[in-house]
Amino acid sequence: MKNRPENKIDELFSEAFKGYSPAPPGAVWDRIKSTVADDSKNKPKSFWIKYRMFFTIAACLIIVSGVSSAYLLSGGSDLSSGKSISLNTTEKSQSDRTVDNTNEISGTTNNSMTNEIADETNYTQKTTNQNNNSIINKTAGTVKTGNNASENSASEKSQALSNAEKTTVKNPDLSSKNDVAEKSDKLSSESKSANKDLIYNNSSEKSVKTDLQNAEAKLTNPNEKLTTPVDNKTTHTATADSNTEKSVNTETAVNNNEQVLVAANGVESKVTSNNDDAKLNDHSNDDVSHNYNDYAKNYETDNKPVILKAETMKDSITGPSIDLPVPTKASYTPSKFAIGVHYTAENLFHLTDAKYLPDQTYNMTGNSYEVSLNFRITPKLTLSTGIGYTEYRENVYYEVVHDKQVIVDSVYTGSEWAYVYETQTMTYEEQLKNSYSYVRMPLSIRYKLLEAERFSLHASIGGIFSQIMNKMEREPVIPDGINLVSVTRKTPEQNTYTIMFATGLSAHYKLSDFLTLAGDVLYKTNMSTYYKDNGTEMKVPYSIGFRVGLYANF
Amino acid sequence: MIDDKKLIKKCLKKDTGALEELYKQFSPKLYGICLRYTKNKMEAEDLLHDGFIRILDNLETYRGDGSFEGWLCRIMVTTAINYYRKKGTRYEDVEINNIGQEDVIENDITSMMSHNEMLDVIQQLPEGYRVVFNMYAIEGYSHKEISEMLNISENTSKTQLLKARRTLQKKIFTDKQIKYEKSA
Repeated sequence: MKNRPENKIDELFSEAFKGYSPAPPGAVWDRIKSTVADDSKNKPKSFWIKYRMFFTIAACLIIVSGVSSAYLLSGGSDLSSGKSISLNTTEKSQSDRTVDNTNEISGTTNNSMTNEIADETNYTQKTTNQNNNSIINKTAGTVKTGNNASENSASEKSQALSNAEKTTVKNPDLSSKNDVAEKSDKLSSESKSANKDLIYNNSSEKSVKTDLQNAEAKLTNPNEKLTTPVDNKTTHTATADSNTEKSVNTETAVNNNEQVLVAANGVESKVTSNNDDAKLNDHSNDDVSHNYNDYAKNYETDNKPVILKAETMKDSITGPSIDLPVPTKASYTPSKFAIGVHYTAENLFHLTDAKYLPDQTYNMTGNSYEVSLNFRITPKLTLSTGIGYTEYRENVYYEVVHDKQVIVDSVYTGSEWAYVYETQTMTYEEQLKNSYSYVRMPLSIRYKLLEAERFSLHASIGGIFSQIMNKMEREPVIPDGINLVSVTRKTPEQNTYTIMFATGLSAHYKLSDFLTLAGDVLYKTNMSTYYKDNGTEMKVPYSIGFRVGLYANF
Repeated sequence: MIDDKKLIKKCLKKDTGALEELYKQFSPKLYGICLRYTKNKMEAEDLLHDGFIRILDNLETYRGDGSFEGWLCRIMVTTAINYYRKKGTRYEDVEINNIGQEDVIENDITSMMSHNEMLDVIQQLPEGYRVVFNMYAIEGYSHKEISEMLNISENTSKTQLLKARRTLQKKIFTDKQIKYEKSA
């Protein structure tokens, strides 16, 4: 502007309009005001507000998923507990078995707990003759464990505890052996931390009292033969003891005492494992010359299921586990969580009223891309959710109404023909393909129907919430020269939100522990019409689709 | 009168009073621009409406670097340019040599013209001439800027300007002659 050549006209107009500020008509402000008001009404809502429904449902699904995964991670399923038992059994070393089994007893269910006690005691009995010190250790441990459990369950059990402690202190052999003390402490601490069970406590309490009474009696009078039976169980014990040792000095008395304890525990364990008094009585009436090894052998043959368990723990063999809740055998380790990516091609069918749309049925093709989150609730049930993007292409019909000049008559004027025109309203239909993008949120439950090696077949059922994200709608192009009257869209507008019911069959093939290939056949039906109600008698649409995907298992 | 920044803040909060104040304060200047770029008042009113809405939509982008009034005027000019671009205004490209020399305008003739008369003369110009003349002579854009803004060549911009000047000269002479004759 500075260097440009001066021009009179430019200068003239530039100067003239420099301060030119005419007042605009008031009507302009009124129009602006109304436009601003309309804009604020129609202003595109913020992302969060626009998709609030979607986010609400997403939040719900996340909560559901979170609760499910928390449940799974907390080891709430039977599978996880069964698995841990199996692992503990196989991983135990021979020397720690007594301690670990004691711990397991506390952690398992009532029935298995009782069985485990019996098994462990049987095992203890078997080893008695081989190593007397070992007997002492195990006996002391068993007694102490029982007493600690009793102490926690009732105040009267404190007496038994003090007796047990007294026994241990009084016994010079026990106190002199560091190994005994260590194991005893270990058992005691584990027993304290373990889950106490009343059944176990009650039964062990009885046994401990009986045992301790006998033990104390022997310790007080080491040369005196124990003759007074406390009950059937102690009769058996006392007899066994008297058969084993004839002449008693102080040291042998201690050993005898320990054997008494072992024997008492052996009998008591049998009682708790069978929970059968008749069986106990039978045993108590057996030949009293049986030693405890014989007794244990008889017991094993009489109670096979328990023997299996005892062997399992004894020999670290994972063999046939009858009572353990071991999961159905699978060719791979089932994962608890999986992320999947999927592509779905589907065809949506509308059944329509012919008076509104040209065809009775017309189709809408769709492509979906989805990321799924899968949480295994049980070995057969899986909760699945995720997020997906779907694009539908739909044929949309428009009715175009226009005026047309039509020659209705012609008159010959003598030199030329004159035509008589009449304006007629003409109508034609135009079909356009529109695209609609949806964001989708599925929630479904999948049930495993079949499984063979790497292949599995699943049935699924659930719902899909979808919300329109974007509409790519075209308007019919009106040719030049047409006196347009109106353009009416015959296919109704689509609803912003829709909920679909979905069911399907899916086949999974395990490529590796980490990857699974999946193919699904899906049937979806809308819970309501796909369209905004504008008088169209539209039936609810349904769709059939095929989905392929890949799961990453964690 | 409220400070521009305060006014903008209030307008951003969609304060109706502030919007009206903004309109009252700046609409005369903006309306003047609209009148120069359009061929009649009706078109100018439409342009003012569209331009003001555009200003409100873009108000938050004003960073306060230059004068607020200048910013408003630029938006209004851009709106006018876009209006004609959408309309498909054709800009004839004529060889500059073919355009004759401009007649000399005497100062006394132009000084006798009122704003309305001058506006009337501009509004009678063909759309292409009017836009280029306004942009070059009054707004002060260079031919290069005009060519970029209107998506035309610089030569086209120059020819449009020359033809606009010639047309204006003729109009002014003719109008004045008629006036002289009538007064005589």
